[in-house]
Amino acid sequence: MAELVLTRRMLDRPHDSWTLDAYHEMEGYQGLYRAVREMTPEQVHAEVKASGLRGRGGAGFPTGTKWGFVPKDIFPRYLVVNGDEGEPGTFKDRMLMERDPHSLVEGILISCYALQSEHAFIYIRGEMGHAYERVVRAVEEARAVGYVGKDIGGTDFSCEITVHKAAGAYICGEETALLSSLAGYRGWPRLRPPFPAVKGLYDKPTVVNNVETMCNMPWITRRGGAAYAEMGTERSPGTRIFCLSGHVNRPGNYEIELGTTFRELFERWGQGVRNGGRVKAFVPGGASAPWFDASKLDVPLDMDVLGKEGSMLGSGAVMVMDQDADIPRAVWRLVKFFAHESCGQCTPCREGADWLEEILERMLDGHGRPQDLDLLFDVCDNISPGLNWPPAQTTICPLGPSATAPVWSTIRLFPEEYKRLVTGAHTSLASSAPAGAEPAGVTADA
Amino acid sequence: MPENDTLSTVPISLDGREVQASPGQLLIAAAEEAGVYIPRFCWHPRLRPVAMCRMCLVEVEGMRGLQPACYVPVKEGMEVRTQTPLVKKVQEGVLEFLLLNHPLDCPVCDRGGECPLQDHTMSFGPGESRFVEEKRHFEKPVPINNLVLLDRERCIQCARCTRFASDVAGDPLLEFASRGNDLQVTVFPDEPFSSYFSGNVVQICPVGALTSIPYRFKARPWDVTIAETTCGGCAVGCRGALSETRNRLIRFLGVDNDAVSWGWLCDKGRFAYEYVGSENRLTVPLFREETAAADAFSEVSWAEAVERIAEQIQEVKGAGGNIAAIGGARLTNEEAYSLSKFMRVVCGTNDVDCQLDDGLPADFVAGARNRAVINDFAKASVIVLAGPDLKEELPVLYLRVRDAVVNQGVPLFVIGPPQSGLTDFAKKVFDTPAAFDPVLLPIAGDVVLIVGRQSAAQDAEAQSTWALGLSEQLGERVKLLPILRRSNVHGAIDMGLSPSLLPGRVTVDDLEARERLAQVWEGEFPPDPGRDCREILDAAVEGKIDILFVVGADPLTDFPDPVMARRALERTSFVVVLDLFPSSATRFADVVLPAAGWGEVSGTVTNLEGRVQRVAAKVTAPGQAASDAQVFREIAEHLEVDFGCGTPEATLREIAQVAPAYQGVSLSRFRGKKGKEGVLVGEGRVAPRTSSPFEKDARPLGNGFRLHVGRAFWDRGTLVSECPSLSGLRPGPIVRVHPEDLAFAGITDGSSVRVLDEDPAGRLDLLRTVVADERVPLGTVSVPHNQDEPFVIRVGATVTLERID
Repeated sequence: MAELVLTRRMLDRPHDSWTLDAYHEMEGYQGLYRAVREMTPEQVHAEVKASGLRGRGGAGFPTGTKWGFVPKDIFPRYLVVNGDEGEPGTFKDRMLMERDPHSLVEGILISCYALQSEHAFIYIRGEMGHAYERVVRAVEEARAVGYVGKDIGGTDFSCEITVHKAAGAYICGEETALLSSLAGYRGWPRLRPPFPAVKGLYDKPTVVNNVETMCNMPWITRRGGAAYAEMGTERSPGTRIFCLSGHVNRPGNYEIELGTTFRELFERWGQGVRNGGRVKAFVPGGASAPWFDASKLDVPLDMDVLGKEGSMLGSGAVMVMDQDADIPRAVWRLVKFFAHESCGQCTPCREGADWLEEILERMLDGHGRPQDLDLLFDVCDNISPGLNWPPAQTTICPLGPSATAPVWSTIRLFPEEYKRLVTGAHTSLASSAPAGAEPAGVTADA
Repeated sequence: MPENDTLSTVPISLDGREVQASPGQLLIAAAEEAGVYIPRFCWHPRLRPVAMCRMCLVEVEGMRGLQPACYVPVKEGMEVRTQTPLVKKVQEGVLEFLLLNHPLDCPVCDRGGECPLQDHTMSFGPGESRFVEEKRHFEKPVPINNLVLLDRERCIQCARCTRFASDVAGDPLLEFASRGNDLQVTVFPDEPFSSYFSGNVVQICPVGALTSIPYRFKARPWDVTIAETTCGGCAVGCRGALSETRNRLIRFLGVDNDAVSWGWLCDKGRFAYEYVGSENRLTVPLFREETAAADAFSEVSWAEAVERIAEQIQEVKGAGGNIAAIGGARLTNEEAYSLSKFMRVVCGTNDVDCQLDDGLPADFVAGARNRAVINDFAKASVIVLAGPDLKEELPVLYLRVRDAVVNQGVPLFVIGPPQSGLTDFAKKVFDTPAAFDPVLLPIAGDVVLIVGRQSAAQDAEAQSTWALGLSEQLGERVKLLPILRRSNVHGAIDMGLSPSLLPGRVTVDDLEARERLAQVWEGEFPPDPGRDCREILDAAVEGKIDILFVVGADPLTDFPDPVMARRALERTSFVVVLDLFPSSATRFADVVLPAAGWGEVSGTVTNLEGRVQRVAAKVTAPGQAASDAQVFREIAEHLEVDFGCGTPEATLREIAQVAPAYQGVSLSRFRGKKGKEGVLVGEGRVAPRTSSPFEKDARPLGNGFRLHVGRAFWDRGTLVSECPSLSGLRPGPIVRVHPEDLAFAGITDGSSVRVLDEDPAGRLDLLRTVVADERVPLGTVSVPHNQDEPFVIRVGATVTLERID
């Protein structure tokens, strides 16, 4: 097992890992000083490229490459950190912000130095009051000792960090919607081009990175990109925090090396399926990802491999369902989430996601019709033509296809569960017990 | 969208066919020009593309996934496929989605029969719905202002109305609320969609979600006939289409033309058609009964009226008396020409004036060289606006200036008025022309100089003198646009309804023009300029005018000194009023003749750019009302003058023959694609006079406030007061004052004040409600005109404010 990059401090200092003092005692801000005093911005950028680090928000785009898209000569430019973690089943960024906010702050400062940006924004999901307070506190502490502000570490590098508390819309986790929301506009995804790297926040070049991505930066700067790249797999280097939830004995956040298999994640870290049961299905990478059944247990946690298998590692949320799980009901609950969180901009998502929810609800309510399976497929197809992953889409952003993925992937994997709903053998929604219908509740502090 | 200036085109492949398109042009527009209609809801050629409805998705070779044709620009060699099975499936899918929650109440929907959603469903839709669930429900319909209703059940969330409100009108009062399936268009709480342009959202709504209260349930599309015409509301000359059913005008819609209005209309222009069908219209000729009390008229026949007027003219002319005419800005070019010819040929006088001393010197308006057109705004290096509040007086011109400034980034300098729709976008605002320093202008590029009358209390000659001085200083770079307000006032000046001008932008002493006229006009008229409106009324007060024609004008309301106007009319022995409605002037008339007006008379009009456009007759005039041109011709023929001008077409031919600037204007030039933009008339041969310029320090001395009198969009004018839907909208008798001035004077916002001219001879004494407005410069009292009883406006007046407790 490789060493822990992200969670070591909170395990070592469970009672004060979020304080500046504790952070200082654990190599805190050494990466920043190393960067600004001993390296050029280009060298920092090169280390990040060498690390092979891929974005931890969901799309898994190589971070160093993303930084390279910023036009050379346009200033100011901004770094925006996406802390709007809202994907059902995902709870890692919240833990990082609550337990290790200084690594986020340090990572931001290092990244800003590499990007030659003098202003970073942290956009934190509105529901995460505790995380917001910890991050604000960390920024204040860092400012008090001169890590944030003018002439950092005695150099001429200056950087401000603004912490923004969002209003709790899932869509604002989509980077262009986030930028609109941050600038005070309606949180609607924007059409591309222009891309944020060219025209982002306040129409200036902007890099949007995930919280966990940022938290890797201190380690990479201290130890070098090559050392980071030695962990994990060749195309998915490093460690990642996986948010394990559902029918396992020990749900929680686990930082493990990429390349581990799902089976190992469930058995070693999750301590097996509850009540000695077996895995029937699992969501490999957040609510947007197409589902897998037990035949995929030995697939490694590797972004490219998962892509080839027809799903994604996404935000790192893995939800396990045992043999008793009511698949259509669980799917209905996810679709309900997406329908509720659709921004309403594009017709197919605004109308289609809601319709999917209503069809599923009607089926679960005992009014399924034989044609409903074809209808579900076709409605999905009108939002995400072809029903493949990565998805084609008739919408501006990927939320529309995300709403369809649980539906079509489970109809393919578990057709009998749906057929049961159209033959009238199902009990009504109101009378059936909700237990087990939704992914089990888990806490970030697990 | 601004037209792409580049003339070069590149080949693209459209469904396997090679077509030419302009690079940068949006695919959806390029395809349409090439004859391929890509279905759309949210895209509108005059709005910023948002690609929300997803109806226009097409396949583009080399681009991943489906692309919205309304967002992707044309690139050379691109291969576009609009008819593939995938595209068709997605189109059916989007339509099915849009119809899920649409109530399908087409039989009771105003849009039914001309609805893009209906049409697209027929052309591109799946044929049937698979939706068996409950539709979304909203209260229906809810008013968003006094003119427009919103039915959220019908709405397809295309954002056309919200984009129009924020991007085009600059009134961001329509917005989306909520999200996802609850997404709905809404106004803000307690904040109606108070925009002068609200009717446009009804027109651009692709469904029946927004309907206009005046038109609601009035007709079905298949029951109306439509004619394209030009709005007569002001001098901008917006193009529109007039709907008629059973000889009543029921709707006016904007028609897109690139030169002027882009399809937009202001609410006054859009809804004022109601006045045409008003019950208060004059319908029969009236004669004052000599014995009876005032205001007692008896109905007479046209023949009798014409005979009596003709006799009167003969008598006055025989005795060497004076005949004069004021008004004529309401008329078409052909009618104005007839009046102009009638006054010269039949009455032998140059005492004609279509302005009521409330505009600009006619020689300045007709004589401006190097004129700007509206499409020059966006190309200019700077726009200097020295004139009235365009939003209040020439609303669609405001939209075009706003577009140039806000969307194209052209800097704007505003010189007065105190509070204007454009001051917020201006680089700098100056109270008076004297305060403006040309050093601020960019050193290269065209300067568009828009010049109008800022205030009825402003010296118009000083204003035009200043503009000419600035033009001279800057030379060829300046493109001048003199702007007047009243509907066809520019056309009327061009037709010679000015004491110093003859038809075609030439002076009355222009020998060549007189020679040419002599071949067509039988009759003598003096080579010297006649009296202008003020001089005519002055002479009338002194009893020197024997016959006064008041043509579509009300000097008791619009002349700056209504007291004097009243005395003038009282002392004129024979007053002939031609109008659509009884007015304060008709009370003093000896003969009142019912005129046919807009929508009833065909012909041409000329807008403030000098653009000639056609107007159409769509309904017959009520009762015996007749075209003014017909009246003048009949009187002339009664006096055995061979007047000609029997039809508008014949009159236009004669205009083209005798009026230099109108040479070559003919009906054939209004046909075809190019004809849609109208015909620009040529430059005149008028050397504008100059007078003494403004004093450098224009601030009044003493303690008084400078008086500003501007027009408000909604006023007591016929266009508003005779329209049931509009008459309640005017702000009423108010004055606007800067809050600091109010605080200093100890007057609270909303209280009653008395506005008194400091000069007792000024006779201004008004009771008004005061409104604090920080856009009014310090030291100024701004009074909107024609909200209440008319009052005396002295040029350069200073006034005091008194609190009324």
